[in-house]
Amino acid sequence: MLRAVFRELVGLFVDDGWLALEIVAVVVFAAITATLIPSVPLVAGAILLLGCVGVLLTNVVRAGRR
Amino acid sequence: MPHSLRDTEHLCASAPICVRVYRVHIERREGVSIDDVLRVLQHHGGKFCSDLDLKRGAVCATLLAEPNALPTFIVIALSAGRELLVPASAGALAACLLVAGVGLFVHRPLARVPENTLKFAVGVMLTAFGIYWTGEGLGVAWPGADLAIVDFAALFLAVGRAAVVLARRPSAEAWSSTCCELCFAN
Repeated sequence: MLRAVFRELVGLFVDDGWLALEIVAVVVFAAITATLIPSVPLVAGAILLLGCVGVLLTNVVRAGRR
Repeated sequence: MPHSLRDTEHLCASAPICVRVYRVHIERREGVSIDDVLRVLQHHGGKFCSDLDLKRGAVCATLLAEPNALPTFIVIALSAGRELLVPASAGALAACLLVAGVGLFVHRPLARVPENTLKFAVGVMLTAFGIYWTGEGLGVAWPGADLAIVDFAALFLAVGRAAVVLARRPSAEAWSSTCCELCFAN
């Protein structure tokens, strides 16, 4: 029962596990870029923005094929 | 000394109408602390008055200039978010209660809105805000500042709609199998 409750709670925040992991990967990559190139933070911003757009597109197309 | 002080006139909601509020952006660099900020403000002429949190966990300080005429407040927002857990949590709790209260009144008309449309709109907004604030946390100075949120929302709205159209298009395999069935049927 605890497992079911935990799954419900997690489900409130994460609907699609792969989507969440992909977004986390984009954020981590953007953070690494921001750390490596602090003089041009817009590069990290572009990676964050375009990465999320890419993740959204691939996720929707993948869901449509299921 | 922090870099690039930009003065922006900004009317603070909690300030009296006769007061002009300046919001001074300090571009975040490593090692910029609130003591640096206060030193800069004192250099510009004034004394430290009180702490105010204006938005999203930012540290704000108001500075009251030595007045002969109207008092001038200078509001500094540092997006550092340090030592702000209690005010940020209080703000989040207040927001929760406010939304719950509003929901009590609007839940009936809201129930008429298609659920997927609602989810889509909320998703677009959350994504736009999330990208903006994540970027802010990473030190990104988004072009257009806060207005970038609107741009992000428009972008994700367009991308989301395009993605739905793409997802609805039948795949090449589906078309070919349909054609084969038709051929055999004939």
